[in-house]
Amino acid sequence: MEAGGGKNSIPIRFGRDSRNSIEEQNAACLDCHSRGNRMFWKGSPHESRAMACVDCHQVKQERKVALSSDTRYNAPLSEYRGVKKPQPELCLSCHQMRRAQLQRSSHMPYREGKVTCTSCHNPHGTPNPKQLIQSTTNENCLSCHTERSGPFLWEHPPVMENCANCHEAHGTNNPQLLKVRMPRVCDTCHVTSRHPTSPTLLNSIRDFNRGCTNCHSAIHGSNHPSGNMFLR
Amino acid sequence: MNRKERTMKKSPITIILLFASLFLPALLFSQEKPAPPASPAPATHGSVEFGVRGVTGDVYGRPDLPFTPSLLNSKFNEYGDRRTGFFVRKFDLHFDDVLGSKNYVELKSQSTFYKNQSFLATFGRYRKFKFQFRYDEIPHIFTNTARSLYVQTSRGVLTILPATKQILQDRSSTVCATPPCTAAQINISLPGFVLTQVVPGENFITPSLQRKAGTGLASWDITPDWNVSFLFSRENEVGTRPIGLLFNPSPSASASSQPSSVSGRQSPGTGAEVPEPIDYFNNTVRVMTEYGKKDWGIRVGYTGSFFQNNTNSLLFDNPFATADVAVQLIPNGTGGCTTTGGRPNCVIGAVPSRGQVDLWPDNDAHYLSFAGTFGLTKYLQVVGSVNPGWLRQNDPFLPYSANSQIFFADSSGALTIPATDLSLLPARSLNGKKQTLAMNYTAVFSPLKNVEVKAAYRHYDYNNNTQVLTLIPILGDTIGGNTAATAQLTPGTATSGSGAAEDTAARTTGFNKKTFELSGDWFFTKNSSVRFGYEGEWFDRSRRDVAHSVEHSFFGAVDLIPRKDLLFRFSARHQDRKPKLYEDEASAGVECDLTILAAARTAGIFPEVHPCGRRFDESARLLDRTDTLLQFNGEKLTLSGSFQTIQQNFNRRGVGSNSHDPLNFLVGSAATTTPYFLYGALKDFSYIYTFDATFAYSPEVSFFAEYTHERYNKRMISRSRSPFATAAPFCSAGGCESANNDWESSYRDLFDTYAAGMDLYLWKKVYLTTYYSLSAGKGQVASRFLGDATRLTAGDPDKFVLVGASAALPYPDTTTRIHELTVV
Repeated sequence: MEAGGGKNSIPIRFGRDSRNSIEEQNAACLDCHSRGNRMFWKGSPHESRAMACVDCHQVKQERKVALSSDTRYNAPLSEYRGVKKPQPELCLSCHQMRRAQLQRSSHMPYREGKVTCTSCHNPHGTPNPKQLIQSTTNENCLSCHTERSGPFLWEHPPVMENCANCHEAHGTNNPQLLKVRMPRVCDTCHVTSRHPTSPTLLNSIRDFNRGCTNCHSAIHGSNHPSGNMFLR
Repeated sequence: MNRKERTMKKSPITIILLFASLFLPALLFSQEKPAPPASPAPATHGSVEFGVRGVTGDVYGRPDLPFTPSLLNSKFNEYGDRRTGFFVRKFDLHFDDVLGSKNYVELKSQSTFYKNQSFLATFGRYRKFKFQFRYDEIPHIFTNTARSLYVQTSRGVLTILPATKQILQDRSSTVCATPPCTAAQINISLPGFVLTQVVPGENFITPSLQRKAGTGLASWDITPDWNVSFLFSRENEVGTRPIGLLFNPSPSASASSQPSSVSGRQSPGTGAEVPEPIDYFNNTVRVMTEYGKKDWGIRVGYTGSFFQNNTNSLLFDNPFATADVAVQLIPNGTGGCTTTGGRPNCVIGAVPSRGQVDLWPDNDAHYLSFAGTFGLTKYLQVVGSVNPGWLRQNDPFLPYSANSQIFFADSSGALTIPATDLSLLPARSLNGKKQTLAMNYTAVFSPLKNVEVKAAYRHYDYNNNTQVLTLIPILGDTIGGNTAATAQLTPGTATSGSGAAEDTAARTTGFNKKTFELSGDWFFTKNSSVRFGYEGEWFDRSRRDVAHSVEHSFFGAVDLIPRKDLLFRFSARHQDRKPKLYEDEASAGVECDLTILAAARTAGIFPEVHPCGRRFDESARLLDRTDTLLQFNGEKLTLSGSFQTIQQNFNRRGVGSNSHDPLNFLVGSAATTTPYFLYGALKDFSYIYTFDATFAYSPEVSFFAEYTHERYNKRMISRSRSPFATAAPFCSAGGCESANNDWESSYRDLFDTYAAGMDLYLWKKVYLTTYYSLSAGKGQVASRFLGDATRLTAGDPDKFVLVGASAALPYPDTTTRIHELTVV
C-alpha cells in the first residue's frame, strides 16, 4: 500500500466476508447512486430484506463474457453493465417460482430478449405495489397494450379492475396467458347465466370450439352500440 | 401504403441519421477546457457475436397439409426470426473519452438486421447528460399453417371471392333431395364439403404481428442534484391476428325460432374466423424532473400516451348471403311452423350479407406523477407518491347493425328506419372520460439498529365519468318484423334469453381500493431476521355484485443465514376476504338461502342467475400461501430448492352471503360429494417445487441443472338451469331447478420442466455452452354430474338431465412438450 495503509484501512469492504454491515456497504454505493431508479431504495422490499447492492451488482470487475443463446434466457438491450448475471437469470436465482413460468408455451418474449423483469418491476423499489413501475397492474399492462385502455361504451368490470383476474403475465400453458383454459376461465364467473349453465358438448354452438371469445371477441370492452354482450 | 407506413420503412436510415446526430453535442462541448489526461484505454471496446446456424429436427402432427411445414415454424419463431446460415446475433461497442472529450458513446445491437432486431445507441457524459436512441422490433407469429377465405380488399373490409361464395351457396341448395334444403340438412353436409372441397383451394396466410418502436431519450443533470429528462417513443404495430366473429349479432339469431325445420329460410352460417387487420400507432411522451439530496428527493413527471388505430371497424362477408335478407314470417301451420301461445307466425331472423365489428377505438391517456422520499430523522424514512390520470376516448360510433333489412319504428310506429341509420343513436360518439388517482404512502421507522417497522397506505380510485347512454342493442336479427310473432323482438324491448328485460343503459363502473399494511422486521443476527405483519384491504365497487368487501391478511417470514454459504427462508400468509353483501341484480332479489329459494320457487320466481352463483374475484375467500427456500452457496457447488403453495378456498359456509346449508344432495348415490355452499369456483390450489444446482469444476468448466414440478388444481360447481321450454318452469324437458342438475368441472395442470447445460471456457478466447431443456405439461378439464342417479324417474321433479346430448364430458387433455438443445 503506497499510502502506508493496510487491509484494515480500507473504509468499506463488500461481499459476504465483509465486516461492514449491509447498510454500510449500501451507503457507500448510494453516496453517488441515490437518484434515478434508486430513489426509492430506502424502505423498499429488497432493502428491508437486507439485500446488498453487491448481491446483484459487481464493481470494476471484468465479467466473464458468455455468448448469448437464442433459446436460453435473453435480456433486452440495456446500457447497464454492472450486474452479476443478465436478467432474468439474476432475478430467478431468488425468485425461483418464476423460472418455470417463463418456460411455458404461452409466454411473453422473455426468453427472446424483448421483455424482462425490469420491464415491469423496479427491484430498487417504487412507491407502488409489487415494485411495479406503474401505479397498478393494469396501468403496467396498458403501457404496452394501450389499445385496451378505453374508456369503452360497454366495459367489462373485472377487466378494468385487474388484468391478473384472468391472465398470468409470467407465463401459462393456456393461450393468451390465460390462468385457466377456455371456457372455464369464463365459467368460473358466468356459471349460472345463459349458455354456460350446462357442460356443453365440444361442438356446441354455445361453446363454439370451447372458446367463449370465438364469439365474444370484444371481451376487453366494446365501443359498438350493439356490443353490450362484447360480441362486436 | 400510407404515409406512416412509409415512414417506418425508412427507419434504418433514420437510425443512422439519429445516431450520427448524437455526435453533435460532442462538438458543442468541445469548447470546454481540455480534458485531463485520459486514463489508459480499455483493453477492449466491446464484442461482436456472429456465427452460422443450422437446425435439425422433425415436424409432425399436420398430415392434412399438402406440404411439410418448415422446421422454423411459428412456435420455433414465435417471437423471433431465427434463420439458418450466417447471422450476427449481437454487437456491443463502447468508447470512452471520445475525441478527447469526457464523453462516451455506446452502440449495441441484438439480432441485427432481422425481424427481431434491436439497437441501442447512447451518447453522454457521466453525471452530465445523456442522449439515447433505441429501436426495437418484436415479431409475433401466431401460425404459419393457416388458410383463409378472406382477402382484405380495402382497409377494414374482408371479402370472399364471388366464385367461392357461389360454390358454398350452390352446395347449400343441393345437399338435400328436394331443395330448398333446411338449415339442419345444410349443417350436416356442409362442414365435410368445406373441409375437402373448399379448404384445399384457400390461400395460406401467416397471421402475425410486427411491432416496431423507436424511442429517444434526453437526460440532463442541470446540477449534481437536479435532473431533467424527456422521452418520446413511437410504436407501430402491424399485421393480422385470428379473431372469431359472428355474422349475426348473436349465435341464436341465425337459428331463430323453429330452427332447422324450415327449408330455405335460414342462414346456415353463424360466424367465421377471420384475419383481423392490425395497424396501430402509439406515441408516448414522458417529461420528468427530479431533485435530490442525500436524505431526500422529489420527482415530478408527466406521461402521455396517444393510441391510434388506423382500422377502426371491420366488415366481413357472409359466404351464404349475397344481399341482406329481411326477417321472414311463416304462418302457423305452414312451412314447418308450429307456434305456441296463440301466436300467428314463426319468425326467421334476418340474414346479413356482411358482419360488422368495432375494433379498438383511438384513445389517449395522461398521467401526472408526484413522488418523494424523505429521511425525516435518522430513524424515520417517508415515501409518498400521488399519480392522477385521465383517459379519453371519442371515436365515432358505428350503426346498430350493418344489416339494412333490420328496421326501427318511426314516429308513427311503422318499422321504416334501417338499423344502419346513425341518427338512431343517442350520440355520435362516446366522449368517454375516466379518471384515476393512485396514492401511496410508506413510513419506515427504525427505532433500533436491528428493528424496522413499516406502515404503508395505498389508495386507488377509478372513476368512469362517461355519460350514461341508453341504447337499443340489437341482440337478435329477428328485430323488425311482426311483433306478434313467436320469438319476435322489437327495438326498444330487447330481451335476454330468459325473457327478462335487458339493461340497455351503458352504465359506467368504478371502484376504490384502500390498503393499509403494518409490518415489523427484527434482525436477530447480522443477516437473519423475522418478520410479522398485517394488511387490510377495503374494496368498494359500483355496478358489481359486491359493493363493499374487506380482506384481512396476516403474514410472517423468517430468514436464517446460519453460515455465510447457507440460506433458509420461509414465509407464510393468511388472507380472509369477506364481502359485506353479495347481491347479483340478476338474482331478482332472491337470497341464497334454501328456505327463501323454496319460497321463490313456490311463488313462480325463477331468477336469471342462480342466487347462489358467486364470482371468484368478489366472493368470500380464504387464501393461504407459504414459500420456502433453501440455498447452499459453496465455493464450487451451489444448490437450492424451493416450495410454494397457494391455496384459495371459496367454499365457505354462510360467509359473504353464501348458503348456510349445503346446496347439493348429501344422501343417495351423491353422498360422497362434499357439501358446497355456492356455485362457481370452489377452490384453486397450486404447488410448485423447484431444484437447481450448479457445479464449477474449475473457473473454466461449470455445469448446471434445474428441475421444476408444478401442480395446479381448480374446481368449480354449476347447475344446469333452462326453465323456459314449457309452462312448468322448474322442471321441464330442458332442465330443472334442482341439485340433481349440478355438475362440477375440475381443472388440473401438471408441469415438469428440466434444464441442464455446461459452460466451457478454453484458452480465454473460446467459449462453449450447451443447453438442453424440456418443458412438459399436461392439462386436464374433467366434468361430471353431481346429482343422484337414482332419482331419474320420469316426472320426478328432480329429473336428471345431464345425460345423452347434455352429458358432462371431460375435455380432451392438452399436452405440451418443448425440447430445446443449443450448442454455442
